[in-house]
Amino acid sequence: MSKTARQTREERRRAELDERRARRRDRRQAKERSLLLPLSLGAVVVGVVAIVLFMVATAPPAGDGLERPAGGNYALADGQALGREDAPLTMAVYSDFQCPACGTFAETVKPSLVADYVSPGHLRLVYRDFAFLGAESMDAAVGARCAADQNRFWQYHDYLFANQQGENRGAFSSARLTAMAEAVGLDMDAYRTCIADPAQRQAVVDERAAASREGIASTPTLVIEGQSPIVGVPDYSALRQALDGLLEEADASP
Amino acid sequence: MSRAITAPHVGLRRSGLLIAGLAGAGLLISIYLTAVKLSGGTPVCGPFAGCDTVNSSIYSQFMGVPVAIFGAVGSAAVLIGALAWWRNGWRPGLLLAYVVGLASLPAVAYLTYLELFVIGAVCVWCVAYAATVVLAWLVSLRAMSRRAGAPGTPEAG
Repeated sequence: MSKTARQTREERRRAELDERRARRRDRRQAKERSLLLPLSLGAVVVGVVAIVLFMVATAPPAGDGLERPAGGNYALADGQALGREDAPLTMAVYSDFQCPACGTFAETVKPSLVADYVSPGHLRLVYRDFAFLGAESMDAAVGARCAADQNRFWQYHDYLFANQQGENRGAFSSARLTAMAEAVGLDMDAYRTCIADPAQRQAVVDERAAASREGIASTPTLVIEGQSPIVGVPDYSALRQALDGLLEEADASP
Repeated sequence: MSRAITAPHVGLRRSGLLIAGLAGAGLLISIYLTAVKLSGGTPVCGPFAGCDTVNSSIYSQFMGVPVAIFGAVGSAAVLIGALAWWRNGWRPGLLLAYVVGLASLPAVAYLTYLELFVIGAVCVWCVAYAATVVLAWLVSLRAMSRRAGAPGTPEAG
């Protein structure tokens, strides 16, 4: 066989290989193109479904149907404070009624604190407004202050946290706040007069400004008198340990 | 037909690196935001305000899980896909980055809407994360349309 004939066969073989490779690439690319549209549509659908689920999970409840809170022993309530005035320890709780972590604190840690420390007279809790999550935080804080005027702050506080859902989307609408005021048994005429008083709003604004000056930046923040702030929801056993230590110190001091 | 075959491979590889870089930045941001949320702290916001408001918002979690975790998972998927494509030329890697990016866009848009119009505060970390998602997806879209050699792909317009 001549050299030229061998070369021609070799070239033909290479050309065939190239062509086969090109066909394979074309098939792959055609497959990719055909997949692109359904995959894109699928991705958009997945994204939109995720958003709808998120919206449902964070939507306020329909109507004025309120969740009833578990309740608690508020015999020692004193406006926005709870506990004996001469209790050896005082804890300020900086909170926003729309903040979910504040709700967690109010519903998980606070009941134990009340049972173990407040009711026996060891601790006085003082609720401090740090209303920073928008208009409904302000409205809820004003409503709670007006409940405090009638010494029903803590019952109203519990209603607010039990009915927390969504944010600035009607969970604390005027109608629902009024329903909560009725549910805790407020004198409604006095309540309505109170919430219309601009001084109540100003008091909420002032309390937040004072907290910011003290270095409070998030909620919940707990400040036991003379101690460093505890930021976030504390582990109850760690909090217990800290409180027991402080109570021992208070007992030891003359 | 030979248009796609002779696509500039070096340029495409650079796109993979760019997507990976953006997704890596998004991953770091979302890990930071997740850690801050789980520790109950406040994100460092520098001269900007609003991080604490957004981070304390009810919208910062979904069924009790910090939203940033979902961002971390999405960015990790894009990062893995982009790296696999960049290093080994594995085409499904680019497709993964593109599809995950596209699925993330509605979430990123909705969360940005919530910041602006519902929460009334903007978190600079969240904006930066949103930028990484949008940019990475745009780069992947460009790479997809080039690689597929299909100027008529629906997303490319």
